[in-house]
Amino acid sequence: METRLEKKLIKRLQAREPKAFDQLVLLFQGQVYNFVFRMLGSTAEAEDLAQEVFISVFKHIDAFRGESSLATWIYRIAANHVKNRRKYHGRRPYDRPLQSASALDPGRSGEGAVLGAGQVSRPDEMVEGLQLERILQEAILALDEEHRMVLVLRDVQNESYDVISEVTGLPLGTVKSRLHRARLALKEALEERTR
Amino acid sequence: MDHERAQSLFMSYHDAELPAREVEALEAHLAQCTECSLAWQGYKAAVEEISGLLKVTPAPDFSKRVQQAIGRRSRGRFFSESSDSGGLGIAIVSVILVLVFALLYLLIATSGEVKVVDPGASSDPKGAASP
Repeated sequence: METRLEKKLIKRLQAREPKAFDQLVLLFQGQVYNFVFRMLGSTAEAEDLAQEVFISVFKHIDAFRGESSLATWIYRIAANHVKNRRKYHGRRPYDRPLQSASALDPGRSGEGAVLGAGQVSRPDEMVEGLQLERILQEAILALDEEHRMVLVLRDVQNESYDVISEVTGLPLGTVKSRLHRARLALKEALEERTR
Repeated sequence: MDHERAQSLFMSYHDAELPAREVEALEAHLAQCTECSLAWQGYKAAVEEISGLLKVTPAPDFSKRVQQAIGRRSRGRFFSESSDSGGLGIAIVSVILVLVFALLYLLIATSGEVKVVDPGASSDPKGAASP
């Protein structure tokens, strides 16, 4: 559902106001970037795809009818881009450059890399944290796309079941059963790797 | 409650969406079943770990680069001129161009009139009187 502020922003976007586009990108870039990064496992891919997502948003803003919230609509576009990118890589040999977020540039904070959810002060804790981060990202990428999408939306992006259902086009029951299976698979993968 | 039933309730239990009676039954089962208790601990830990993953953000100039990409792809036609200060600049340039063209037109028209009048009047004064 659209809020009044959202309606205003959409009107300005449809009038092609550069400042409105800037506002939109700033508002949703973190959400889109983190989502595509967790789905693909590469910052280069995430950077490129997040850009494509916003270009699509701008291209199709006139077609936005307000049947869902702007955030959900943007997620849907991002999800389609991720699917298409995966299909593209499926047709071509692609050596996925797996990256954990913190392995990108652990010394840098925020800029093009990471904002720590939990800060670590001791080096041994940091190394442990990096290893866990990598293990988790590998485990996420090992899931099939349908399960990964639901897991990332719910547990990484913290979205509600209703939003996930709208983004994926799946009934609520299917979303929940997929999430349960994804969590179980992740639990197995984590237990196997830490054994 | 059997193991399979207990483990199928983990998600609703974690999301606090389980009715009180089922919570009670599940907790009673977990208290006496090591296998399910360990499975629950693992499930909870996995969800917590993944929820605590670092949030990745793009570089600060990301928004600028998106605008540049849109500008490139639409050959600068995407954003409206009216809302941009550049629009005013283009309007001023247009007015100046119109004025310059009007001035040029007047100059050419004026010089044309002189040419029509001058040949007969000044270059051949004799010829004018000859027939």
